Amino acid sequence: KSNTHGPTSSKNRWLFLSNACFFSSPNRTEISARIILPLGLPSPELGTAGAYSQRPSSIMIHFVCLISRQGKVRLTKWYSTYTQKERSKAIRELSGVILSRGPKLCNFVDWKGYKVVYKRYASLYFCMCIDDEDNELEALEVIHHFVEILDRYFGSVCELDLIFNFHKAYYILDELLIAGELQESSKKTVAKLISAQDSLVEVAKEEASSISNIIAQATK
Amino acid sequence: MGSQGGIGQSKEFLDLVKSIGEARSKAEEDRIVLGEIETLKRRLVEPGIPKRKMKEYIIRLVYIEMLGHDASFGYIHAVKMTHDDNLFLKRTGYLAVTLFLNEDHDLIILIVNTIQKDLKSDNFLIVCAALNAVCKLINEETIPAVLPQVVELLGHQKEAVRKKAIMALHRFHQKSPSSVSHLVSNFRKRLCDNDPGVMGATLCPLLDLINRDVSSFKDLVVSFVSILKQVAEHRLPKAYDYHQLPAPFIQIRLLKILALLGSGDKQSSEQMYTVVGDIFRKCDSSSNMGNAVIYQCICCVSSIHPNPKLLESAADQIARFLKSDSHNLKYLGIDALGRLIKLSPEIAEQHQLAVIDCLEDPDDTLKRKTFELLHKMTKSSNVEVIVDRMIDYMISINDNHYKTEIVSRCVELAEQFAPSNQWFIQTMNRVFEHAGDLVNIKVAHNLMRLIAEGFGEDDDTAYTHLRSSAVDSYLRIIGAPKLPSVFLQVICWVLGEYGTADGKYSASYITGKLCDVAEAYSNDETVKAYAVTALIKIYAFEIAAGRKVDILPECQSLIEELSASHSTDLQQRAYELQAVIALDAQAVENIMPSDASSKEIEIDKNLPFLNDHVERAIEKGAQPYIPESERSGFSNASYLNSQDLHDIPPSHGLRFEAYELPKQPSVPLTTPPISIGSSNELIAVPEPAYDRGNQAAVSVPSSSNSGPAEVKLRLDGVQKKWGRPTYSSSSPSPSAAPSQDTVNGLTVSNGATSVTPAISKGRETTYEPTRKSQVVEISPEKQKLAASLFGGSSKQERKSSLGGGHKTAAKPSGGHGAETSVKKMAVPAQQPPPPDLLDLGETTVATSGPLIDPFKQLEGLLDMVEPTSSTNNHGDVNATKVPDVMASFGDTATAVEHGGNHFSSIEDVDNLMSGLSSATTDVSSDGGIATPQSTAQISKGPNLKDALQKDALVRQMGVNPSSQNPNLFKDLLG
Repeated sequence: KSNTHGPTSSKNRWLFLSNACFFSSPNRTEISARIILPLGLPSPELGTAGAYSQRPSSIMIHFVCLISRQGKVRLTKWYSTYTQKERSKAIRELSGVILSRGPKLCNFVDWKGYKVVYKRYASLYFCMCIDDEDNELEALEVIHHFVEILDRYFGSVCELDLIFNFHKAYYILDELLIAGELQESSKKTVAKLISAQDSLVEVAKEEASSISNIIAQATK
Repeated sequence: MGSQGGIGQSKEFLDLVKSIGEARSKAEEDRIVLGEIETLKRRLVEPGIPKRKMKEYIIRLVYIEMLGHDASFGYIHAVKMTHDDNLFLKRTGYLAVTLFLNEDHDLIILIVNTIQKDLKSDNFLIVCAALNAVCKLINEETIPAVLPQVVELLGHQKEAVRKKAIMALHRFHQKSPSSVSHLVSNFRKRLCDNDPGVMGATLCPLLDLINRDVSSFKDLVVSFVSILKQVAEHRLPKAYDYHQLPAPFIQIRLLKILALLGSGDKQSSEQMYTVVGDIFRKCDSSSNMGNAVIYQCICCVSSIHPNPKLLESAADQIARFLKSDSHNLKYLGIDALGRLIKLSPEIAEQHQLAVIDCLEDPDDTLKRKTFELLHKMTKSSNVEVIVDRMIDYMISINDNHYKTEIVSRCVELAEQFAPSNQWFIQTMNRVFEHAGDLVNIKVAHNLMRLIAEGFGEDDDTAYTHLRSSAVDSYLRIIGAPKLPSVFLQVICWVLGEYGTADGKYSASYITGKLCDVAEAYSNDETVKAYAVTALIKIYAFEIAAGRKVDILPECQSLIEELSASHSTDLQQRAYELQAVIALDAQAVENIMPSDASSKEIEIDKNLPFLNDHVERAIEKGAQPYIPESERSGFSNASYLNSQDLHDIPPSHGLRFEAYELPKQPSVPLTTPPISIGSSNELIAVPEPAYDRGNQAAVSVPSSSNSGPAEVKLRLDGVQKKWGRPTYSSSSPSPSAAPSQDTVNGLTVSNGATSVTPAISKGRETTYEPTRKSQVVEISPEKQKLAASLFGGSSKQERKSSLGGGHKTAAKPSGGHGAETSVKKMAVPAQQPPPPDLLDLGETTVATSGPLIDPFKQLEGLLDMVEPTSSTNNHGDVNATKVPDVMASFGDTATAVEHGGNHFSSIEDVDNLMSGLSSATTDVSSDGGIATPQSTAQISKGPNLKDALQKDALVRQMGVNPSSQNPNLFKDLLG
């Protein structure tokens, strides 16, 4: 039988006690070896007073989604990596939370350690998921910025425009946000780019000729 | 334009969208989509689909995917579409793949080639589409494939392309910082782009870079400040205005950057004060966007070196936020208050009622934010109210994620500020009862230790009282159904140690309870093990006390059951129990002394009881043991390691260049291995393992031929996390001790700098509490809450806050804080100090002079801090600034002379545009062919970019005639 069965020497006592106190966790040494940790283990956010806790990361939009009042998805764009399952789950959870919120409450909700900023326009909710530490009000204005651009493009936009032309909304979003960041804050520039893309062929031809002109001049 | 500009969608598709729109339930919608999936699957395999039709199918796939269904069967068609030459189709293809594929998808490898080709296209729209795809799809491994082209595009003549190229590089940086680390200078250059959109986009990667390494960007403070100033003064084109505010999104980004750069740096901060103050004054506070900027200003002010004036304006703005009717602003106000409260604790006082209103608001988001604030302002005087509220709220919610968070906060506060042991134990019991599964196991261990040791009082009666009250409370709780495992472990342990200690409960009563637990939670082995061990202790104490042990029948059956358990751990415990019971009192007293859980157990590391055995073995001809430190070569090796480990080059994912040829070890062997059996094996095995992933040149030391120490090992590529190899652990490496010291030194000065401002602040600004006027219409209940939260008398509170960190650290209610610090000094094997401002102070005391009064020490520290920190900063800035400025702006500066001829008209105007544009000429002139292009462009006249510049210029002249200040741009251009 194993030697722990005849606990008489001091060595065995140690075995016993350490067993008695701790046996299953890596914390065994904490008590048995009397290494004293401070009881107040500060969480990192509290601990590092000034610098760390207030460090903003660059504004990172994890995803954007448009949900109708009935909970129907009108547009989703994912900037961070999510599986199809996670996506459906996120939409389901968020539409549950957001659609049931009263009108006078904040436009922000906590969601798994992130903030989801939403705003309702008529029957459509625009939602945007950002980092917890980020500027929520700024995100709210990014949404509004997007809506203004849509409005300008479709000419007083309504939900139907987006339902039938969701791919256009995607193109517009791609000019506004890229890689989860706001890439362009000028409405004019975005509008110009989109219209350039819409009349793609002509512009492309013109471009090509002007560039070849320039090259021709340069190589003369 | 509008919706008519699109492609003619087929009736079929329109019908689909319509029917989805009319679907009344999710189930109906799903049915329709599944039908659509079947249709598409069928259609897509048909031969000879016209491209126009194919495009529609792809859009329909996008639609399906958007609705949350799997369209992966059609991904390949989207990929194919990106190969198409037709722009419309290509764009659709790119849109679809960016929506379909994550960066780790297998199909991406099929797109990389197309992307490479498209990045070279002479149609900028194609390039843009490709760059969009790059941002989404390119992963760490494929970055090298497109990186050169993306970098080239930074100099593209279309600003839209430059902007996207910048963002693509930013994305690369996020995915693999090392891949673009050599391109930082490009970002700096783009900051001077003549298109504000590109400049604004460049701020994103810079923010990220600065976040990672503040010190190497200190030279840009001046530039950022000057850009922010010009933006705030409305010098950007009108197109960037947003609701009459000048480019607010850019302002916010700049403020974020400044907050990082000014944090803990007095000199840099001083450069920012004026511009931040201006924005505070000028910003329109009636619009959302204006408030967003103001909020960012507050964040910035609370992060940089404090300035009384700015803090005052920040406090004013916070007051405005909190008084607002908008929940959004209240939320921001609470958040901002939390940021500012560390710098000037007294500002919370005037807002106490607003805070309480927010706490009781039905809006969960606001409530949580308020709890966050309370967490930051908890002191020993208000901890009871706050933790109580937190636990109540914690019980009321279901969201596990947030529950975990708030539980950890409760525990943290309770441990830090507990006013009495009694309260602490009760609080912990509540926490464990309602959220035991969410608590870190360490918390349970802390609780056990606390009960075992008390708070270090000498008073024995308090001790025993604490324990018996714990035992009482646990016996009450133990019957409750479904207790969390962690809590049960604590209960079992405490009952085992102290259940019978005060004689109130009989051994059979306690053991009965323990058996009940083991039975009720028979699936939980850990709990069972704790229960059995508790039984052992109870019986042992009984035997030692000379009483006869009656084993209850249920205990007996439990023991029998466990001694046949599948778990060897449980089995052993059961056998040990039986063994203990069979011993006499003397022996039991030896192995299980009562109340010895917190006694030091001494271990003689020399293991003297083995000496006989060793001697016998040596007599029989065994080799004597040679301590590691005395084995030749070892100390060398460890020294080598510790040196090399410090400068490790950033590691790359895949290597694209060829491996170097292996070299012969340059140093011949000098020392023959001593004992082949032990030493060689020890070394030869670990080394090759360290070299994995390292490109080259290592001749693997094989155990047969190598003198281990002399072979020069290439250790670059070895990650630090592996630490020093184990064999050098006995002889401390030479660098270890000093580095530890410097770490301490550094952290001390850090901690202290952030303490000082708080103190000086407290003295300089005093706020008249505005409470009196408000009190009138406030319910007494709220007042009471306010008083308990914010401390009854403001004066007393203020004093303690003036005391800054050290007071609370040194004696949170004479509680465990003090105790632990004392212990920390005594115990040599110290844990690395947690990153806490307060604790760091203590550790220094411990290291520098263990027996000096900590208060005096701290005072001394505080006095010293101001000068030392500031001189440090000076040194820092001066050292880094000069060369960097030259490097980064050197070429920009030449650009001014260079481009002067062409641009004389523009150059005179010292606005952002002109200065920046001359900088770009330089960039293009580097490119060779680009120079004629840009000159041609200018001479050509009516051009988009020109028009924009002119527009800006005219407005500039018209609106702001006083701006002819050539100094403005000196900053930017060095």
